[in-house]
Amino acid sequence: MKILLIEDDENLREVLEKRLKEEGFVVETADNGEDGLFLGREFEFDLAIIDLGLPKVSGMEVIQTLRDEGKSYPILVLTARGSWQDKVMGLDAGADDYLVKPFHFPELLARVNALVRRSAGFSSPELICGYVTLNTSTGEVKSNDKLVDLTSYEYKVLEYLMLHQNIVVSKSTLTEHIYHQDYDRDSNVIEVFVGRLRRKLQNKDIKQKVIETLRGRGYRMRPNEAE
Amino acid sequence: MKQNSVSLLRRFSLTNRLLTTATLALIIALSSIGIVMDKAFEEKTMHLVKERLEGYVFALLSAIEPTQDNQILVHENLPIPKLEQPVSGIYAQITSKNYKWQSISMFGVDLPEPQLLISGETAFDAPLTYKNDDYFRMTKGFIFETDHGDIPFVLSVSENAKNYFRELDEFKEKLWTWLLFTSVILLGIQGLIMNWSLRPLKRLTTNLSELEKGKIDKVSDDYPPELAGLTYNLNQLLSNERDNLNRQRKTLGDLAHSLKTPLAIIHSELENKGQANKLLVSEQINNMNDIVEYQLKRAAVAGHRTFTIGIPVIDKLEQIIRTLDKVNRNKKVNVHLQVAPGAEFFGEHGDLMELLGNLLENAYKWCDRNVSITIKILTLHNRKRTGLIIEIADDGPGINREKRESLLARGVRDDEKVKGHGIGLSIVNDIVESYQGKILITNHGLLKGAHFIITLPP
Repeated sequence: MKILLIEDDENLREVLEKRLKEEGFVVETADNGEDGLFLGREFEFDLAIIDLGLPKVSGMEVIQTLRDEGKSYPILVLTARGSWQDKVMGLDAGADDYLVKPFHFPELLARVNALVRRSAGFSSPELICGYVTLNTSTGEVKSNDKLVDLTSYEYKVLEYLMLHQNIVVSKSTLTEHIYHQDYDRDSNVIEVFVGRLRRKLQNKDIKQKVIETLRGRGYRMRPNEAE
Repeated sequence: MKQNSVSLLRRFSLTNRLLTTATLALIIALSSIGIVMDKAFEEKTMHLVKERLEGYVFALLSAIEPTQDNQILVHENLPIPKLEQPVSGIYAQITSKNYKWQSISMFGVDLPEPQLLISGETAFDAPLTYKNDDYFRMTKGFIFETDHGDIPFVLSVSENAKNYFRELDEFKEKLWTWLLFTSVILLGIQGLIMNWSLRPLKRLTTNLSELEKGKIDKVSDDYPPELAGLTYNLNQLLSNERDNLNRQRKTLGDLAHSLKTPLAIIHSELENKGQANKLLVSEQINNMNDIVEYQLKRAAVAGHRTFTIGIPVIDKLEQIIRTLDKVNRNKKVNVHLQVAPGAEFFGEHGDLMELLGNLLENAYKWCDRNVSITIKILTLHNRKRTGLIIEIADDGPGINREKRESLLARGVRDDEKVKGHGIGLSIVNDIVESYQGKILITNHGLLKGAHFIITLPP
């Protein structure tokens, strides 16, 4: 999952970036509205966290511009004042949720997960695709009700595919949402991760592959047609 | 230039305005009265002179008769004694073709010959000026018809006009003296009335200057009804300002006081030689965060305002509902909204947002599926503005009786108030108090959940 974080306070930005990365997110940061707006326009994100009081271009303007330009990824607003006027203005500008500073990181994480899930059309933390379930709150993955042990990257690939069920996800998209933009990408690694995932999730009773490969196009997860 | 004179006129004092206009009105009124009375008196006395002279002419006519030889005979005992006293001021002349008669009074008095009028004609000279003397003269033409022929003649009675003009001058002098005297008296009375009428304004000016100097803290409330509205609103404004200042001072005091305890705990924990208790420190930081958030929001409450434009409640409600619906998208809350048409909040925009936002956030949080919002207009006679009755209910678990009381308990120190309950409700309570309103918490009869009834007076 790729997150855009626009926050001018250096300490808070660094702490949030570190903790979000530890949670498996790819994080791009900006310390002012102008740079943030550039990143938000140029790259695809799964979510943006935007502080309202930003230098150069205000948070409110950033949100408004991104929405006006058709960017539809969820936006979480951070506000220091926490007044209802701020909340209403932020959400009216196009944000999807707000969080009043200071906050506990688990609270932010829960909001981020809920927003990502919600934008993919899931209302509960448990993502289900056929016999595979993934709990975004606990990080548990089960295949046919049996716990499956995944590495951090395998989990990231599976989560992205499960959030985009029935959609063909290209290798480059997967790479972009799993790796930081400066990372030296190797698309073969994705193939390796998908291969490992297939093996770990495979259900002997069902012949259909849980992750389909569409030659030259990418991967797709679909619930088992029999179910 | 023109603007300068307009601004000078605008700054012209009320006393001077009233004095100038009253004096002008008085001068115009009394002058008109004087002129009219003068004219009326002159006409009346002239009419009397004319009547009198006409009377003399006919009286004299009765004392003459024609003779056999077509002459005119004037009897010895004339009906007007003044005609027989020399230079009495009344003079008579009878003139015919071959006859002339003058009264004894005319000896030594030179008067022009009367006009020759034919019978039935009348001439009244007013005045007839002759050799530096003024006279009034009534001349009438008559005819005696006798067996020997007709005798036409002219009978004229003159009166010296000196007395008349003297009386007229005396009257004028008296009239204008009295009018001037009346003007002075009336202007004096006018001045007294004005002084009495403008005294409250002068008192208000003194009050305001004392207020500025800090000698008094409010304007006295014993003003006449025309100024009572102004002084009432002024006092309200001052009281609001004072309340705001006090609230902010109290907030700062409370903030400093309530932050010291958690700070002291953290301090002593960090000085502890052993491992610092992370849980304790984190608890104290949370505590401090709650205190800061509550106190800052509390300081932002503007409170009751004397002069504000009404804010349509429905607009703010819709904004907040839209926000809460977006944030609680998965919950799918049914909002039952009933807002009286034209319901307006007379106060600070931010206060209304905090009031509705915090109450509705709680309702969304605790409800199962349904939230009911009812806004009614509260009117009080003799108040121009309207108040509001805001009812917000949900179908959640409700609030038990003990908690309801503690939520609204007064005299609980603010930092303590924060600990037990949501900051939102404490802010709502503060806002309602600052608008001299009331808040009642019950359980809703139909929805069974918490039911908040807030009354905000006009």
